[in-house]
Amino acid sequence: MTPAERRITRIDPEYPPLLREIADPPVALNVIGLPLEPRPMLAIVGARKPTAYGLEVAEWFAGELARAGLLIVSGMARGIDGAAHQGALDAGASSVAVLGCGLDICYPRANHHIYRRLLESGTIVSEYPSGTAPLPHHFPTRNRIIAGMSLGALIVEGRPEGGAMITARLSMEFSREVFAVPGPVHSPVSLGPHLLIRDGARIITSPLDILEELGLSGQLSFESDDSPAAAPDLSPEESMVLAAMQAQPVLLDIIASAAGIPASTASAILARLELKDLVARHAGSRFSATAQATQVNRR
Amino acid sequence: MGTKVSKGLTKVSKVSSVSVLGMEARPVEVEVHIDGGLEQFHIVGLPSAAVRESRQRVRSAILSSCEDWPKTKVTVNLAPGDLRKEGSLLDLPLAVGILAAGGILTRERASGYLFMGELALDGRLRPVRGAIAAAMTARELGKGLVLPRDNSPEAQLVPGVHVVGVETLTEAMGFANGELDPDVGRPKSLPDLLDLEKVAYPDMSDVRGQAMARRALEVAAVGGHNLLMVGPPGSGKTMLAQRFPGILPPMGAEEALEVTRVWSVAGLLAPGAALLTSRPFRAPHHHASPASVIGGGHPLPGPGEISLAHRGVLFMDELPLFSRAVLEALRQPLEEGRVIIARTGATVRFPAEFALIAAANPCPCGKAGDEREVCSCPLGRLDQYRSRLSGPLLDRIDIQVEVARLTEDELLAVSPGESSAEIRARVIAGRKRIKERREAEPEWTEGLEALDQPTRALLRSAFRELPASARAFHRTLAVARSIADLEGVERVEEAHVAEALQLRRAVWR
Repeated sequence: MTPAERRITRIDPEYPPLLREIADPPVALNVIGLPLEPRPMLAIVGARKPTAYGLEVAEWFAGELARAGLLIVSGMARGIDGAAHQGALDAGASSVAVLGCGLDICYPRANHHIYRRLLESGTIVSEYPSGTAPLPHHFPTRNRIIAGMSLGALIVEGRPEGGAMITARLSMEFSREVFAVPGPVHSPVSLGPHLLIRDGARIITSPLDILEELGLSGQLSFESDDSPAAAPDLSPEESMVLAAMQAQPVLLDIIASAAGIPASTASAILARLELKDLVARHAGSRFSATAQATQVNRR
Repeated sequence: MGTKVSKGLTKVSKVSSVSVLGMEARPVEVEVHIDGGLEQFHIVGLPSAAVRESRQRVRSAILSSCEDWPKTKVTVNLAPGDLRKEGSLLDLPLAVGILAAGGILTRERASGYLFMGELALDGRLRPVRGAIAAAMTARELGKGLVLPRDNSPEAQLVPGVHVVGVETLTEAMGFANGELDPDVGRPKSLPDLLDLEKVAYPDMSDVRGQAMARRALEVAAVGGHNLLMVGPPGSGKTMLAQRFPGILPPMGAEEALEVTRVWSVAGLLAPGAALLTSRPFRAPHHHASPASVIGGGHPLPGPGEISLAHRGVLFMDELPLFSRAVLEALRQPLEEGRVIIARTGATVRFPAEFALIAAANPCPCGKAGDEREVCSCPLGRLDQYRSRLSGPLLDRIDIQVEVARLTEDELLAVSPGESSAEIRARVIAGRKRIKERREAEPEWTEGLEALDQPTRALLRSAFRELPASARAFHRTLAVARSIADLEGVERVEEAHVAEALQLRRAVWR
């Protein structure tokens, strides 16, 4: 099932050019999937136990930026990493996963579906030979590859002691950009990005911010973005419920009473809005409006 | 039960009784033979340990009742010989048989009755299990039933049986000799009993907020769906579950009799209790053994929690923590509404038509998904916890919702909920519509072709990305059907499917 593994060395043209510049680049990389494209790369990493907000943001940023032409790099870990790969793949773009184990091992196994999608339409990279187990000390070294290949790293949620913070620190050491997405102040997984922002990381509130910071807004753009996807057909009641929603998760009971309709009706409408990606579901029957919805509401 | 004298000292008597096996009471004949010779007392015919112990109780009870104990050889045979006899209910027929064989019982009246009851050493009678089942057997045999007075209210629920409740062995003898006619009272009809007793459940108006979970309970009540609630500790899952019986329609007479019969067989009816009129709510602990949840025991299986919850609610808190054996064994009863238990002693069948209300924490530490706290579970353990519920069992739980632990602000913002009575009225109306439809069209199933175009499009888009099983797809439609019935709408519409999708989510994320 697994296609043949290739080995690329530092002198190969396929070897990511930025990775050559770091202090201890891997001598060779094992690669499966599509060839590594010579496109500007951006790492999107974050918490393994994210909130629904974080997942949504990661998927949204990955999708938009991949469509704009960036190659999204991440670690195929649970949570934000997986969401970043999926966002990019869903946008019809490629994505690069850097593993801390042999390429024949899918770790974590829960992300098997991402692994398979990457084999087909993405690239999976590791400096470890086949059969290498995912040992804890492999991950910080793996993070140096993620940071080293990329122009910058976007941190979406993470705890101060988490692996995403290691990637951020390495990016800084390699003099790459560090971007952080802010989150609710009471959420423990917002603490990591907030610390980074305090220490000078760029605060990022939209995918466009990243293109501007990277100085790519001239070359790359969201040309296809605005018109087709952004005008979903909404029934009057759907618009009413959407108007009653906020970017923060709100309890179904409260949304229903704000919209002045029974909770059962609100629940049905929310299900439809969720399928249109305008609403995200959170723990405990709470719902929030997605970034896409705020654009709709603004219009 | 005549006394026959032949060859001088030899006397034989015969008394009818029963042995409880599963939900049935099988007829048993107790034959007593008093012979010459040294004082001995034997029981043959597959008696269990409890029956063998009868010897001591019966002897003391007879002596306490101021009768003579035959100072010769007493042999008791329990027929049929290949049926295992369980329990202490054979004490009374044994004692009656010995007294009859000893010539103390002279009248033939006893032959028209079955006897059952456990004796105390002083000759009083203690209640036994399975009185309703025994009364049903008595009716089939065209006999009456003599049993402890504490059991007579339940036995009287079976119409057409002359039930005689007695308090002591002496009273039983008096009755058998025709000297005494205990006032049996007029048995009440089942509907009278149902009306008489007030049934009270905790009320839904006690629950603040939780619109999604309330709605889920309502839909589950209408369509008979099983329900899983996932939420952190203290979010009110148990409170909601306890209120579920209160939104179900009240039990009918037949249902009440079925429930009472199971409880009678299990020996869980309070002494003197007649009909159980409130729907059972059983909440086994997650350490419960498969035998106690599903049913079992040695040598003769008894009903488990799922059968005690028949026509009521089985609440399984901390569902992932139940043993795999229990979770696997739930599948058959969930599908068939009954359970078959095979043991070396016998294979028996118990009814188990219950509503499964399950609850689970989002993760072992209970903090996952709470935006203000950090889940401290190692990811491996999290997977292990959640995978226990995966697959076939989860597929059979039609409705899966998250229950929130409300913050202080949210508690203040939500309005108090409806009362159980208001919800129950809608549930009863919805069930009536379902019944009417089933009567009009017994073969009816919700087909995809009956849906309009937007509804089909919605279903398609919802199931496009999910690796959903065909069962999941049909169960979603079934939930949508229940919602339509609840709303009183003939045809399943887009809004019903949308709400069904919301009520049937992968709760693990």
